[in-house]
Amino acid sequence: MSRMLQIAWREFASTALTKGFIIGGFVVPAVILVIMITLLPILLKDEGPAIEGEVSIIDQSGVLAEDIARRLSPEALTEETQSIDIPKIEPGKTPSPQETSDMLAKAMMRSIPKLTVRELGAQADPEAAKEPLRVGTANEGGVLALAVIDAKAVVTDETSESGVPRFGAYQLYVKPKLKDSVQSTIRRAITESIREARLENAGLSPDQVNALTRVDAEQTKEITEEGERDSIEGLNMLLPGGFMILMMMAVMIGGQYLLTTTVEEKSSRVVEVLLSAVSPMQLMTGKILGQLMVGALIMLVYGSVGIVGLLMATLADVLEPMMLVWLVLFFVLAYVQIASMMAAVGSAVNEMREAQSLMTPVMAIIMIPYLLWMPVAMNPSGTFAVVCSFLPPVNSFMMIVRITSTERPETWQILVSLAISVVSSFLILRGAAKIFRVGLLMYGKPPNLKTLIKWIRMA
Amino acid sequence: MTDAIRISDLHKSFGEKRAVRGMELIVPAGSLHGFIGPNGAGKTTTIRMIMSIIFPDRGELSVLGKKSAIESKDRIGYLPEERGVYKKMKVLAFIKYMARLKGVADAELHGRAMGWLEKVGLADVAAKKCEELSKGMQQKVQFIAAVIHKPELLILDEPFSGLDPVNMRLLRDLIREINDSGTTIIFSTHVMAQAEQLCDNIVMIHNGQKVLDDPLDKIRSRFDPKALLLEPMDRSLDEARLTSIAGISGAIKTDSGWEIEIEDGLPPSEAIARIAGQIETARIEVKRPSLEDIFIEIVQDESYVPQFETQEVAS
Repeated sequence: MSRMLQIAWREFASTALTKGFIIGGFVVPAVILVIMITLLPILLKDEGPAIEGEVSIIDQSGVLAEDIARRLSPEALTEETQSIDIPKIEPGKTPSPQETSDMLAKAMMRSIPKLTVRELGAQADPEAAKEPLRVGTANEGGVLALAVIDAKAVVTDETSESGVPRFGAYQLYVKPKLKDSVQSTIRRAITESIREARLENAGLSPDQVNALTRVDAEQTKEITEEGERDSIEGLNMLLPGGFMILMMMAVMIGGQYLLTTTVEEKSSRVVEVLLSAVSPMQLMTGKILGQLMVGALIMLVYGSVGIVGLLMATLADVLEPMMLVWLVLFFVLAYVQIASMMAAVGSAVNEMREAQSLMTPVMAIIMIPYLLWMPVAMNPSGTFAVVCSFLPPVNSFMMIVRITSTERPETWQILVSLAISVVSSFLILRGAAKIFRVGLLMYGKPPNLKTLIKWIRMA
Repeated sequence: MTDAIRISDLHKSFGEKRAVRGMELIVPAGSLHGFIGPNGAGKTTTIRMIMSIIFPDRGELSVLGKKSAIESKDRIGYLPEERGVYKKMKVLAFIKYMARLKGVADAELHGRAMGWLEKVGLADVAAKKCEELSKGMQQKVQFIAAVIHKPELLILDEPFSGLDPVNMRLLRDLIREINDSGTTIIFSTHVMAQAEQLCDNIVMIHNGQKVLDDPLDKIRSRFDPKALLLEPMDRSLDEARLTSIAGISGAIKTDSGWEIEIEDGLPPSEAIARIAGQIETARIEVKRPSLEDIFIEIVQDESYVPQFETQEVAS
């Protein structure tokens, strides 16, 4: 036992207590996070030079051109941008989708295009007016867009069968690669202009219509034991996704290091020296244990960051202590399964390059939870989710997704899934140990999957 | 005293290849045994089975009185043929780690490790990473890792490969010293001269079978010399002159003189007397067969029947 712990400690120390691990695992992600928080808004702010150019209008209705020109003037656009209500994001409050899109709109509109509107007259030939659009690019200025507004866009004598007036439309032609934000600015100006003209024509006040048609809804509130809080869309998915990714990350990192160190020990020929002191099973168990500690460290650090994040967002109550207990249990079992496979692959090959082909089935197993977690989290009590959470070797991941989603599975289901994980971990570990024992001392041609199965039978 | 190793009818195959076929071996405690044989003869496979790193298909095996080396790993030192070090680990840390795995008490770790490093002249690299060491230095570190726990049985698989002559001598002296202190030593080599210089007993392995197992002197005497080496005073001596002497069946010119074959039944001392009586000689001696000669003779002679097998059948 003490030997196994010796091996485990060396494995942990040589992986986690190195500059590379600390920098790669913690410092770099932290730096990236800080950069994203501080630099991203600055980068978003600077949108580059504003677009300059001309918008030609053929207004066959004869009443809109002036209004559109007014709406597209820099002054009007500036005013429009500033009028967008940018809510102050308070700490611990996630913006609603509406707030988010407003902010995005502002960000997009930050550099106001300098547009001059030229009215070509109702009788102008649209085909001839298109010609300037064919020359140059949107960035070079010149004529950027041509709007052709139908004569019946505001006043019409046509009606549908049910007697509702049928209005004419407008058509916008633009130079290729004209910015989406500029296009939508022009569209908005024309649409609003037509809408208001129609309302006035019908004797209605646009302000009144706006007031009548606009329905404001207050932010949905969640009622909890502690009180009320704004409901956050996506939170229901955040928890299962977060738990699964955390678990997956810890399993993958531990497993990957296990593969690397096993291949290293084999290729540096240190393995037989070790085998003179310990049995292959002791060696493998020690190594798995050592990398389990590495995985657990990753989970601890990133999990703590997540919990701190939830605390800051006053959302800590969505976490239940039992969730963490299940997470630890299922993590250990999922890790043992993946790590055993990694150890088996590592022992069978001579160098990392050769590990690739044998890694494919292992990677496929790891990818399955990634593909399945969304449908499982969205319908956590559905037959699909239940089956997935009993199906080794992905059941550990899927059960964690179910446990952390909106509908908790029944305790017996969790326990059955846990039992399945225990049994499959044991079986995988046993098979891997056989491959490990044979593989460690096999040099030369790397084996294929068939050979590995033969080794399991042979040992 | 019990035998350090007892092996009986040991077999091991890898697929089609029969690596070890019916191996019989007894290594008495305290002896220094050399396993010799060409590459692929089955030496390493036998050693790995002794170490319980791989397991025999059938046969009996006992190591230090136990059924398996696993039960007495702390009492065995092993320097494998495929050996290496943790490249990123420091030399002293590596030796201490191996010693700990071999059950050396923490209190003794540092003293023993430094003592050995000084002994092999590596004390000044104790704090360096293993990857900074030359291959020969790494080999010495590996040797220390194999002996630091004062094993009762030491198994060295090709311990001299990759060493320069100076280090070869150092290692040879260390092996003798450890053997003198009572440790049973088995070492394998495919370089016969090394076994000749070091071993009391030779076990020769060929095609997975033991073909010789005797003290070195006995082997030499069994492969009775049938030739003399002659360095005549007269360099112009010709073959006809030599073969005209009674009992001389042939003569081959060598760089320094002649290799003379003598007829069966004629004692070498008599042949020397006859030659010396007729030819003025600067030097004449019985040609002692080297292990290599003996080995090649055995390998090439398909009708060769290992003598110990007939002895065992008879007994």
